[in-house]
Amino acid sequence: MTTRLDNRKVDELRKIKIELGVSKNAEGSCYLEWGKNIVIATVNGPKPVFPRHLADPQKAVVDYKYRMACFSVSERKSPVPGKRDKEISLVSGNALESAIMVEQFPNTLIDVNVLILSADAGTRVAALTAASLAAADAGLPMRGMISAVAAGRANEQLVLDLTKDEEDTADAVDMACAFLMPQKEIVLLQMDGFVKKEDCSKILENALIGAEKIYDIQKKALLEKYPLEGEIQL
Amino acid sequence: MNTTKRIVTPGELITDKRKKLGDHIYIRENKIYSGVLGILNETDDYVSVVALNGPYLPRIGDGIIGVVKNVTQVGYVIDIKTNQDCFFPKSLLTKELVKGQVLFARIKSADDSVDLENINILPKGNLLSVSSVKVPRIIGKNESMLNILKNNTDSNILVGKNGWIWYVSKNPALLENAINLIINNSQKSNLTNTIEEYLKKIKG
Repeated sequence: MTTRLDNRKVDELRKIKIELGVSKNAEGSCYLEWGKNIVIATVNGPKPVFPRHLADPQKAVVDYKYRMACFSVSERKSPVPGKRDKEISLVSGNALESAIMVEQFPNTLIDVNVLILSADAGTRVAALTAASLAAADAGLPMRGMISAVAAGRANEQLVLDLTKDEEDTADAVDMACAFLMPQKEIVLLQMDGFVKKEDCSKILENALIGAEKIYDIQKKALLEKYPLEGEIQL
Repeated sequence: MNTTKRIVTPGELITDKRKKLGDHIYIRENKIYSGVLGILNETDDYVSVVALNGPYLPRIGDGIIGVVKNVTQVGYVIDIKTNQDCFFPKSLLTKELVKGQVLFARIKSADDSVDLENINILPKGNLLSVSSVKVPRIIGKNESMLNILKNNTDSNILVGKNGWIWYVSKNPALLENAINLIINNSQKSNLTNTIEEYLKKIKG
């Protein structure tokens, strides 16, 4: 069996480190290290909507902002939100909205800010994973967690969680998937590259297996923030 | 009945039996799921989840602390730490309020907009903001925790359900320390005794 560029197995995720409640000023926040990706997500709200005409009398509006820091990529990225930032913000916002019970907070705004500090492929899935953790940390009522992961093909084999080097190979296929767990509903699905029909469904199956692993990590991180046992530190 | 505490994450399956539903619970395909990150409270015929964090949702009859945010021609805009400010007409008050005035009030109605009643103006004091879900822990059973805080720090404390705490204290630093301890360890048991020991030790 051929190994991958960074000696991982084909179905192995990169190392994930999660810290919750890192920001004092946000109601919920999450710091996520996913391989060489570094993401900070904050959630504020529900709060009043300005301008007023954007408010929805049926549900809360989720304002998801995906931004990359200038220094997150090898060549300086302009801090002005471009087409890519806006598109990712829109689709990820819709995905997160499906997890939060927005109908409980009519005429309000839920502000989600995600900043990518360091990028190494798969930032949109890392951002969505972190945002969902931050929303749970903020205590928002949710149907489940959003567990997102990228799967695809690199060097003629189907792999999970591609790095930038793997994404740059000639036959690369990169499919970013986000699932509402534990219901296993697909809430985001985007793909780059060309792939056969059979491979496509195989990649999706791989992604679901990866998402289940991510969901376990997310649950563990949430439980770790509130230890039931142990001394009360005075 | 399960005596050990258990923390549930959003979307986690709690039970597939039919039970009375409390807060932060939802049903899908006849099974009961948690709708928030919180501590599970399950008995033989009842289930609810106590959230560990979250926004304040106003309920009728809640005693809350508010701050006058703005004075208009006909009334006051009062910040009560919810997602929408509430308006109180001048005609219902005998006294004029100024911007920044802290007051205690009860919630009269809470549907589209929040209405207040029984407004009491509070004297000069300090205001502390905590998450509204920690308020039951700060008050304690039969106000046990509140009495410990009051007696051991020589202070007068008023806790609003919305998570604002008004206090006048001879030892404000100790009081704030104790409140921070309660907030950071709110999920642990035997908190009241630990806080009492801590305060008595420092007091000497």
